[in-house]
Amino acid sequence: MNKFEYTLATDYDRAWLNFELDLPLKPGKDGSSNPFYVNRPGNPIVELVDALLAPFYRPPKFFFSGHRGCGKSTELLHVLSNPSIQKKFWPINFSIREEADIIDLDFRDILLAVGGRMFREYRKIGGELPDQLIKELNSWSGRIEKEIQTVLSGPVREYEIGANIDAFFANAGVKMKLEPATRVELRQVIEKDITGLISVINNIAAAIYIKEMRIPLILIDDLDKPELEKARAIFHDRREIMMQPNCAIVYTVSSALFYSKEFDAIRDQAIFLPNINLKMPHASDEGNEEGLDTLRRFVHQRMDPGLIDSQALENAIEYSGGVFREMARVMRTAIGRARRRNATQIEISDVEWAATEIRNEYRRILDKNDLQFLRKINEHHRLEYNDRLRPLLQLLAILEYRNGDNWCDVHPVLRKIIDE
Amino acid sequence: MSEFNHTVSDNLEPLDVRVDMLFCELELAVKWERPSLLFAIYSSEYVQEDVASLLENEIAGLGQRVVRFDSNGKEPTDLITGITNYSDTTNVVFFVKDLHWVHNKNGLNAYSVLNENYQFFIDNQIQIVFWLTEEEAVEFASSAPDCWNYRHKVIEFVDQPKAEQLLQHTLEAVWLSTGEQNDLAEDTDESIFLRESQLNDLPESEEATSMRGRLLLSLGILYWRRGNYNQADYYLKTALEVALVLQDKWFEAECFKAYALVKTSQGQLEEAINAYQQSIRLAPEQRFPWNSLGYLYANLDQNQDAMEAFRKALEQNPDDLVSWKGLGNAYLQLKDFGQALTAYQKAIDLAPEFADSYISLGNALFKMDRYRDAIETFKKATEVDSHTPDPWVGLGYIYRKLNCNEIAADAFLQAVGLDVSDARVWNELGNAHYLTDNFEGAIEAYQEAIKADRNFGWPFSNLALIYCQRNMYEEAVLLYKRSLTMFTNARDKVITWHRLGDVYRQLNDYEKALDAYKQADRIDLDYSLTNDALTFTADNRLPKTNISGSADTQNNCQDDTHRKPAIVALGKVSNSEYQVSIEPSWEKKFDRCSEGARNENNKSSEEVISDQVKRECEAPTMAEPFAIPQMRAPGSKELNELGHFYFEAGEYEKARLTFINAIELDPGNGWSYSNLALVHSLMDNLQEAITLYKKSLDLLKNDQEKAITWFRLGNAYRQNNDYRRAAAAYRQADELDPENALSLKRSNFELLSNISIG
Repeated sequence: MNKFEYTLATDYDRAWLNFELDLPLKPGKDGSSNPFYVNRPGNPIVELVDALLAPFYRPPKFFFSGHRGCGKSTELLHVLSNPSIQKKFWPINFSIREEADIIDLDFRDILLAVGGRMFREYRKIGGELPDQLIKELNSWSGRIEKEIQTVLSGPVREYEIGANIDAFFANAGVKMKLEPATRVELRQVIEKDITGLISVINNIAAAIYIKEMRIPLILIDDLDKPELEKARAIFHDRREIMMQPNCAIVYTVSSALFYSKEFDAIRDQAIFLPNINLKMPHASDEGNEEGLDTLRRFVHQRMDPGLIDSQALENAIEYSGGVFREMARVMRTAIGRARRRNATQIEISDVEWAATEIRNEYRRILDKNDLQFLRKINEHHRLEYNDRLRPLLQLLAILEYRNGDNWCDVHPVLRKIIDE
Repeated sequence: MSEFNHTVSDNLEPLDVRVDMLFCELELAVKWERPSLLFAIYSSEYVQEDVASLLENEIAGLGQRVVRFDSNGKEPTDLITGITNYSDTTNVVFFVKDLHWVHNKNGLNAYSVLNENYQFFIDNQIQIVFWLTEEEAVEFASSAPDCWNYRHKVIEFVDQPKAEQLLQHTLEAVWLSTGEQNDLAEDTDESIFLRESQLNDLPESEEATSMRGRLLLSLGILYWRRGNYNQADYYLKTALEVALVLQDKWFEAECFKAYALVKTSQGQLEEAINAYQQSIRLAPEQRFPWNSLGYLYANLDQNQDAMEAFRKALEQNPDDLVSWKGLGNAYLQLKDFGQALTAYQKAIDLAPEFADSYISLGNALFKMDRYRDAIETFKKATEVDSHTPDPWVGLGYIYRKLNCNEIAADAFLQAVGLDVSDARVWNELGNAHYLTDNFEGAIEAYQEAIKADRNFGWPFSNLALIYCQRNMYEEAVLLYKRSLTMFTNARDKVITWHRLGDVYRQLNDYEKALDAYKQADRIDLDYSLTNDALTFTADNRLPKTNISGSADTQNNCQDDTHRKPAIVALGKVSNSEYQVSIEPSWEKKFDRCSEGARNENNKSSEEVISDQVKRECEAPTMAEPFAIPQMRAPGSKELNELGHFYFEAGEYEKARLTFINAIELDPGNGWSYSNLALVHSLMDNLQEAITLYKKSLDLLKNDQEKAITWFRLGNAYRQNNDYRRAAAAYRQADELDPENALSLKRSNFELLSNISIG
């Protein structure tokens, strides 16, 4: 299957496919929403769009955060397709994984990725940059190349990253990602002339802006994946330099960084995408109809409603905890069981089965202390610091919500374990 | 994370259902060409192997093949690079095991690599199963949370290994000295609960140390019994620490003994042996570790060490059935048949109702060519235990060996009736049916074999033979090609490439035929296997299972047959096939006699077999080529027969001289030249052989006889890398024998290529 067809499933096999975890919901070429896209109540992405569309003197930089599986990538793609955004910006979107080694990520890697990706994407669509700019860029890349060779005491073939700017940007990302030795040398050289790299980015951005009459907007996904310390070093310690590129940028950041003290200074530039609220805190029986309906639509836009018993769907929604990826996981597992037993409809027992299966996955990885901590969370629903808080948020054993005050809950499938 | 994790999962389905759950995920992922990151958690290597093999078989049914990445003695690997090396991953499912062994070229460990690169699997639609131990699963979730969050399914296979996989099930007595009896599972749970409560309630005082040590040992044993090896491992390690503090060697030995069993259950045999050795060093007067140690050595093919260990065990307890049987197995491996028989007999005397000892004895007798005794022994085993298929398989092999294929088929049928999942026995049943011209039965059996194991090449290949016989050559080609994708053994490949070449010849596609023959030649550079194939060997490849009831004796039989010189088999069959001018071998006479006996006297099959075995004992055996009937003043025909016997025995020089004598006696007998040429070709005197074949062709009158010699000549040309002349010679053979009788006869013999000849 080379091209994914976003069509409503009328059988289990297709339904299994449609509930693939993290299915990329690319918008249509005409900018229309993806058929599987579900808008959420009070979608904070609107804030981001509004902020981007607001007048500015300097192209804005925003930070976009949220818990794993909550739909950040989907929302970024949605921003990309927004007609107003398209009109004002020349937008591109990429994952930092494609450009750099996220385990050993550095602010210079991100800046190089911004410049390189902007340059390559523009060339790819046939965009032409002024000859003089190309000349200057070639000169810059030649200088970088020469310095690397000097550092390495002479020309070493495997460290060549390309004499001209096209080759430089084509190869630098790959080398930064795959070759630690080159990465170190390149970073050292760039460090000495970081303003040179910023100039390169700004010159490219300016050239694109002048040609397209739209400011480049760079949406960088997966920047929430590096460890907290690395992220802190980039977005806190090097915050100023990360604001320098003369293009609009949306950096994704992890929820851990978002909640860190160091992030206070830039919190006004940050938007957090919460999980869907399915209920009110401290009121386990009171459902949040808007949230529940969002997840019903999530299912119904992918699968014929006739394939699932209505109560089974409600249970599945409850077990998802309002996390889209978890909803897809519950549905897929339940579909698998219904399919194996040749049932005509997904029933409550299938959903319960799915919950049990997911519970068993956690059962193995949670220890006594984790369970004790989860019991406390289940009682008071407060985000209290504990050295297991972050890993448990990361594993989605704890889910965070934002209606009114921030509050949290244990993953609904885990309630049975903590009650044992 | 602490080492205590919850391991008892809710609603665990039966193992086969869980395998099916994994398979269904892969099935859909394959159907839609989507990525699939599956996690299978296991606690026993045995269970992991079983599950992986079941899953692989199912996957093969989807037209996918499995590529395994595991340590298996290899250098640490870069998983991502390894997968990237496969240019087309659309038909591949990757199995990754032993994560500690996965690194990337920058030295990052598996978890870092996977956490960084999980998107690689998604983007490239990789279907991959990670086989994780319980500890690895915990580590995975904690160290590679991003990858873990992308999991598509996690299935647990923390089942206990099957009884036959674990020698310690027969060694339960080990625990007698610890006071931990083998109770019911629910009792075990309660025992664990009690001891864990006691452990928690123990005061911290030094006086409680000994008590703590005992409780830890007990818990280790109970968790082992519960199948929770990680927990058992933890408790026993802690108990060992306590033992050191206590300086109690006896107790320490007990702990090591228990630790050894846990390691055995986990398939970590070297560590288990080490623990037993420690136990013996600390308390040499303890009895039971010796026989356990013996079995572990045997599993690692260290038979001398195994023998010593069993002897030690028997010094302590001369009535130890387990040790006698183990000792017999070790003797058998070392080819000391007499001692093996004595040891097995002792085991039988000690426990006459234990079928396993009879099966081992039957195997030993079979290997000694004492068929009558072996038959009696296997029959006794079926009486003692009517539910085990192994003695029926043993009987099947003996009857096959005696060319009593109908009775062999009955025996194999009994075996598959008791265990339908053994592909090799189904294949044997197919062979037996085939040899009795029951082709429908053969087809059915081969199809069952394929169903039972889709990665087993021989039923495909054998089915192809039947298609050839029915002139369905195109279908045969497909089946041969399919079987070639499954064979890993050079010999199997060479034989099948030859078969494929033959089919192409039937299709008059000499170009493809020669390509197929060349493929065979490329694999078999020294022609040792080609000779086998060309002369229609009754192959010495013994199926991996079922000749005996225990893995150790299986290996023994297998080794024996593997070591049988290929050339002996070669001679035997080549005679049957080619030397049409001489009298049939004693075997054929024997067959005729038995046929006659059956027909004329209406004897029961039992009686027929009894007669056959009797004659067999009187007849010169193939293993004794020089015990040939006395021949006085032999004529040319007799000399050819004598030459044949030498040939069978691998005595080529004697065979050569005998055929020369035959020529001198009757220079007009074309067969003497042809036979002499065959000897020369096997001695690599190819020019000599070619000249002699040509001479033979001048003398032979009959077209069929000439066809056979043209075919032999073609083989000699091929062996000489003269493919052009080889093709011409084959063409001549086919023109002279348009009925294709040659090929069919040949196929008939080639069918034997995957059975034992004892």
